[in-house]
Amino acid sequence: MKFGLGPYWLDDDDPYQRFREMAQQAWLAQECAFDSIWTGEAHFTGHCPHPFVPAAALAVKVDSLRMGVLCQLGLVHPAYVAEDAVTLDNISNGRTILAVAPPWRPEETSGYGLSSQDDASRFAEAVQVLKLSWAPQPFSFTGRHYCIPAHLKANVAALGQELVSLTPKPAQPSIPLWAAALPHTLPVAIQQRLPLVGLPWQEMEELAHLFNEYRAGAGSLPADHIWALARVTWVAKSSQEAKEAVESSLPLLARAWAKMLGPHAVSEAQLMGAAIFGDVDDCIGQIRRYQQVLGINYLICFMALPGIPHSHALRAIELWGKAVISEFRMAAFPRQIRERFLADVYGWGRELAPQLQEV
Amino acid sequence: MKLEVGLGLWGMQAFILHPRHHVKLYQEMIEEARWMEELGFDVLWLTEHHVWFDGYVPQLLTAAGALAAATSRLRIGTSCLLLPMHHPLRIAEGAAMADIVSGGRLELGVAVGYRDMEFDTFGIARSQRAARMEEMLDILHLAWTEDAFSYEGRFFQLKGIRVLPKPIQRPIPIWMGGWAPSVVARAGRRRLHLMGARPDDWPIYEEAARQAGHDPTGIKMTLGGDVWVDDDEEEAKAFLKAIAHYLYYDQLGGWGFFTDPATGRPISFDQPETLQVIATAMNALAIAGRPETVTEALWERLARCPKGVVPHLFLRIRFDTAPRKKMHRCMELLTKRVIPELRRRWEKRG
Repeated sequence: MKFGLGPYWLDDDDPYQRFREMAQQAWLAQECAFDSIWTGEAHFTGHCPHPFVPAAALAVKVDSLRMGVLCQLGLVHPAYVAEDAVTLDNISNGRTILAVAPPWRPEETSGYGLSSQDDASRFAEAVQVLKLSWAPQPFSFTGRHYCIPAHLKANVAALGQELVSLTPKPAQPSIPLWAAALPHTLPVAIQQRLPLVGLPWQEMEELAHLFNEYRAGAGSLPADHIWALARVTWVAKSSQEAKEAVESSLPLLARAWAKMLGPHAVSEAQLMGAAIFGDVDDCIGQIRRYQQVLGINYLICFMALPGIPHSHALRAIELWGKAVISEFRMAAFPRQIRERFLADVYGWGRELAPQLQEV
Repeated sequence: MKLEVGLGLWGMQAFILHPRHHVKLYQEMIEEARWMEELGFDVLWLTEHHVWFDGYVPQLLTAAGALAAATSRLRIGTSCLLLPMHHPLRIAEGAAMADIVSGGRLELGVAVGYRDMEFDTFGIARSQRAARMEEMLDILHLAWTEDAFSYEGRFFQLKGIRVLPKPIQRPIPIWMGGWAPSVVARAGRRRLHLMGARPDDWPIYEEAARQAGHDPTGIKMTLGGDVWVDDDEEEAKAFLKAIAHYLYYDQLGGWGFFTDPATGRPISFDQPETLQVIATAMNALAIAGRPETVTEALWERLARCPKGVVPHLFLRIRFDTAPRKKMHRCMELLTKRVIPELRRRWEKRG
C-alpha cells in the first residue's frame, strides 16, 4: 500500500502562506514515509489554477517524494500540458505522476471559450497527445479538436514538416498517467490502461461500480497495476478528537468544494461518510475496507482541512506516517510482530517540528 | 536607484557542442540561481522555445516555480515567454501562481515568437501573432486588476471571468521583448518595460506613450549583451567567439530567426553567405575579456541609456558549453570587479 498527501487546492485566503504551509507539510510527509505529494487544479474560484507551478516548487523542497499533479485536460491545447509535465519531470528527476480529469465545472470550459458538450472527446484526444508527446519518437496527430502539426498555410516555413518532437523528453521512460474515476473518463482509461483514481467526494458504491467496469473492460492486469483512491483523512489520538476535528472542518470544506466542483459537489453528510478518520485503529480498519471492496493499493490523503490550524495538520500527518503507514508496511507480518512494533506509536519518534522552520 | 543586474539566459539546452541530460541541466539551474542570490544579482532570466531538438525549456512558469522555491530574494524573469503561442488565461493564472509561490518575485517578459514550426504545433498562424499579442496583453491586465471581467476580441471571447488567486505584485511587471518599431510602440502605448530595444528606439516609445497619455519616466530598458569575463583576456575572447558563432549562425540559422527583407522569408542554411554576414555582425557585439575591458565596453552601452529611463543591465553569460567553474568565476568577477565600478559611474552620472 502506498500513500500520497494531497491534492492541495490552494485557496484565495493568503495563498502565499498556504503554499508555505504546504511546503512544510510536504517536507514532513517525506520524513514520515509518504510516497507522493499532490497538487490539484481548479479555475475561477481562488483555488490553484496552474498546478504545475506549485508542484515544481515543491519538487525543489522535497527531493524524494513523487510529485503528483491532478490536472484538467481539455481547457488548453494538450501540448502545453505535455510540456508542463516534462518540465516538472526533469526538474524533479523523474518523480512526476500525472492524474488527469476533464474540467470539473461547465463554467471552467465555457470560461476558456469552449463548449462543455465536447469535454469527453477533448479529454480522449488530449490523453493520446500526452502519450505521443512523451514517447521517444516524433509524431503527428489528427483529431477532431487537435491537429499536430496543424499544417496552417500561414506557417510557411513549417509546411512539409510532417512530424514533430516535443522536447525535452520525460526523465522517466514515460510519465505515469492516471485518470480520475468518472463515467466519461472510463472508456479512455480502459482503452489506454490508465490506472483509476477515486476522488475524495465519490461514494464507495459509485467507485465499486466504476472499478468493476474497468476490470471487466481492461481484462488481465499486472499485479502492480495501481488502484488509487483520494480521501479526506484525519487521525488523532482518540476517535472523539478526530471526529471533532473533521466535524468542525467539513462544513467549510463542503462549501469550498461546492464552489470548486459544481456538479460533482456533494453534501457535508456525504463527505463525512466518505472520509477516513478516527484513531489509528479506526483509520486502519476503514482503509482495509476500501482495500477489500475496491482493491486499492494507493491512498492519497487529503489532510489540508480548512479551519484546522497548520500545526494540527502537521501532528496528524506525522501520526499517519508513524502509525497508519507503518501498519500497512507490515501488512503480511504475524500479529504479534505488528503489535510489538506498533504498541506505542503515540510516544515514539524524534521531534520533527523544529526542523520545519528551515523548509 | 541602484543599477539592476540580470543574468541570462537559462534555456536548458543540451547544445550539440555539449549535449547533456536535462535533469542535470535543471539541477545546475537551481544551483546557479543560488550562486546568483549569494553573489547579489537581481534577476535570473529564463528563455522559451518549443519543439527544438536540444530540449529548450518549453514552459517557463513551471520552471519559475522551481526557481522560486530554491531562492528567497532573487527575482525570476522570462526573456521571453512567447505569449501569442499560449492561451491568455493559462498565462494569467500561471503567472499569478508563480508570483505567489515566489512571494512576489516574477518579472514577465513577453515576445511574439517567430518559428513557424512552433506556431504550427499549437495550431496558431504566425501571421496573427501581433494581433494575438495585443488581445492577450489586454486580457492579462484585466485578469490581474479586475475582480471579474469580460472580453470580446477577434481571437478570445471571455465572459465573466475571475482569475483567482490574484498575484502578489499589483501588477506583475511586464517587459516587451523585441526591437521592431511596432513592438517598441506597442510597449510605449502600454507603458511596458523594454527588453532588447536599442537606445536609438527610445523616441518611438516616448511618442507612443505621449499619444496614449502616459509619462514614460521610470521605464526600464535592458542594456548589455553577450558577456564573458575571465582572468585571461584572450581566453575569454576565444571562448565567447566560438559560442557566439554557434548561437548566431547555427542556432538562429536553424530557426530562421532573421528575415530576408527582399523576400520576407526566414534566412536559413540555404543562404550561407548572408547568414555568415549576420553572424559575424552579431558576434562583433559580444563583450569578452578581463574585468577592466568588460567594464569599459559595458559602460559605453550604459552611458547611452536615454534620460529618464532606468537601465537594467542584462548580461547573457550562461552558455552550456562553459565549464562550471569558469562560469562561477565569471559571475564572481562581474560582481566584484565589474558591477561595482559600473554602479559607481551610474550613480555619479545621476
